[in-house]
Amino acid sequence: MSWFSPATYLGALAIGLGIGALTGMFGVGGGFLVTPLLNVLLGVPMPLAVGTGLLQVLGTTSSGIYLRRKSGLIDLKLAVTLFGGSTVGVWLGTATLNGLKGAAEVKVRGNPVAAADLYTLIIYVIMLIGIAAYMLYDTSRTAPPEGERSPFARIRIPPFACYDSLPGNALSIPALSYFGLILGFLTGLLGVGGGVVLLPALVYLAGMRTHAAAATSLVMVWFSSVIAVVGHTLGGNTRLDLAIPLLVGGTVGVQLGVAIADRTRAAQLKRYFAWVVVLAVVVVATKLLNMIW
Amino acid sequence: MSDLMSTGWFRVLVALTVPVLWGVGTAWFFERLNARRAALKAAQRDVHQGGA
Repeated sequence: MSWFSPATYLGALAIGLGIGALTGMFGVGGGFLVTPLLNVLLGVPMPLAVGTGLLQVLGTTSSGIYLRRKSGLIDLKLAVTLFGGSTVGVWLGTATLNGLKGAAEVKVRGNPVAAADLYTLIIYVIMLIGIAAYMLYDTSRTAPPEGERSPFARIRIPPFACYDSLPGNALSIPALSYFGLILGFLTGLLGVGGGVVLLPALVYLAGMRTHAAAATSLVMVWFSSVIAVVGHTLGGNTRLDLAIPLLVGGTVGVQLGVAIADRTRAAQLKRYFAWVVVLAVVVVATKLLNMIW
Repeated sequence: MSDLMSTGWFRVLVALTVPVLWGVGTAWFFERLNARRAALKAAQRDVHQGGA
């Protein structure tokens, strides 16, 4: 194993600190920012950035589950249903990334570019634009009223199951499993925990209360990242030496973020977060344009 | 021993254990620290109220 330069480890510590602060302020894992930032700012090859980012997601979610263990908000049955599809999705995503890693370089305007870096960055830009647009839209939106049938409850593909966190709504198990499959694919391919997609989906598509959705998505993301870490470690895509500064920086950052969040209004926080994601889009898109121009 | 350490599954075990232990360990530490701080603040408040 060859070591990275000291600057790379310091950079990882700084990224961990920044992402930890975001986690403390906004309550999101930030896995969707770690991977592109490792690649764009520190030049870590995309497959390694994905695997190492997942180690950070695993640490953050373990911490979150420990803190919420007595809250009674975790719907384990729903998390396990989603996890069923997610297992297949993680495997597909990991296999796709390993396939891209082994693929020949792509020629863009005569310049050779690593296929894994190019395709994953393109998907990242699309996903980050979607997340930023959603966050900006969400600042002016309220959760659907209780008792209203959620979009997930309108899908009538049997068999159905009732969940404690969703009283009165019998949800289609295949629909939840396929949704889990998509989330798992994103986890395996991009190294994102999936919480950033799952949390709004549970609130707006399944009609779940925000706190229960946050606790449940943590468990589901933890399960998916465990499977993804196994696949990526066996594929040689994880670097613990790079994950440790991310984890250490993250721990300090969370404490800073919580202190900042205590002094800021919730609506203001949401708007700040949307602009952080917009900034990430600009950084990743600039790298992509440099690559293909 | 060296054979065990070079296997992929040993690396998987380490890759899973370190982040989970770090996450749970730091959460436990800060939970206790915050509880101690809260208890200290409550005790100080009681002292002030008792003196008033």
